[in-house]
Amino acid sequence: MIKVDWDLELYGRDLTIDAIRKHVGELTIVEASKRGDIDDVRTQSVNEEGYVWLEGQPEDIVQFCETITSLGIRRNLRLDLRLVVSIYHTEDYRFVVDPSILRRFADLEMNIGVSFVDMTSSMNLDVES
Amino acid sequence: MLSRNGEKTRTTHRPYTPSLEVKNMIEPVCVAEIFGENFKLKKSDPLIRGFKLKVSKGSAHERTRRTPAVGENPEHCTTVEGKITSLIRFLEKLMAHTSASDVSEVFFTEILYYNGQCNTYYKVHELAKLAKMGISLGVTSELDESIQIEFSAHELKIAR
Repeated sequence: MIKVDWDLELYGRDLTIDAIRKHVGELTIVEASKRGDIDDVRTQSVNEEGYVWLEGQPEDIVQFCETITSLGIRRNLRLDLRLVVSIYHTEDYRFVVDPSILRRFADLEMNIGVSFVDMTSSMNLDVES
Repeated sequence: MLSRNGEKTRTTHRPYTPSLEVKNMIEPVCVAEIFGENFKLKKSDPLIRGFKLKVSKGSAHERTRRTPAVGENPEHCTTVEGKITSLIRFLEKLMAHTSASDVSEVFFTEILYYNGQCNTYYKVHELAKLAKMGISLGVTSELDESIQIEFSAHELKIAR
């Protein structure tokens, strides 16, 4: 079974989830941390920037990006937006993005990251152990 | 990246900064399947001259994992392949040429070679150019067991 996840990661020095929460619409907030949070108890490293990870459908992601851009949130918080499409169970699958969606991401000055991940691969099981 | 229970983890979910060293990586190949009953492209054609691209007759739908349309005639297809930059530049040249009127449809696919995982990204200007030509971006992957993944010293330290 092919599984395709569209994820949007936002980074910004003063980004908090409250700054964007009302605009996320149908997107799921997977993770959020703000500047100053302790990232790892063992090493006591501190996040130097706010971070939000959203997941959802391409149309919802592009709409969210258009909204925060047009409202000036992206510029004011100097947000770094990273779009990543992860494709799991990769056999015989062709991932396709329609030109109308390509146009909108290009207008937003955004790249599209693509990852193919074979969940059965030993590499993907061992790395987290 | 996935943890043992199959969930994604933030720490390694960064396609832009791959932390694993990949040996014997095969470069991705971009394939354009150009359909048109009267469209012809010879290897010596001025349109293709100057580009490092391979031209062949017939569709490449098995390699590109594309489901052929009902009634699609593979004999009315020309396949052009090479690096993404060259292929996009060629398509732009083609679309601005009179031959474009003989083209009915173009399928653009990048084939990535992987062994477990592969990451890539498409730059803004590439997306803009494809969108301007009305061409979809297709991406597929092909298993290549000759690719070796080596964990860097930093990665091994984290794993411990």
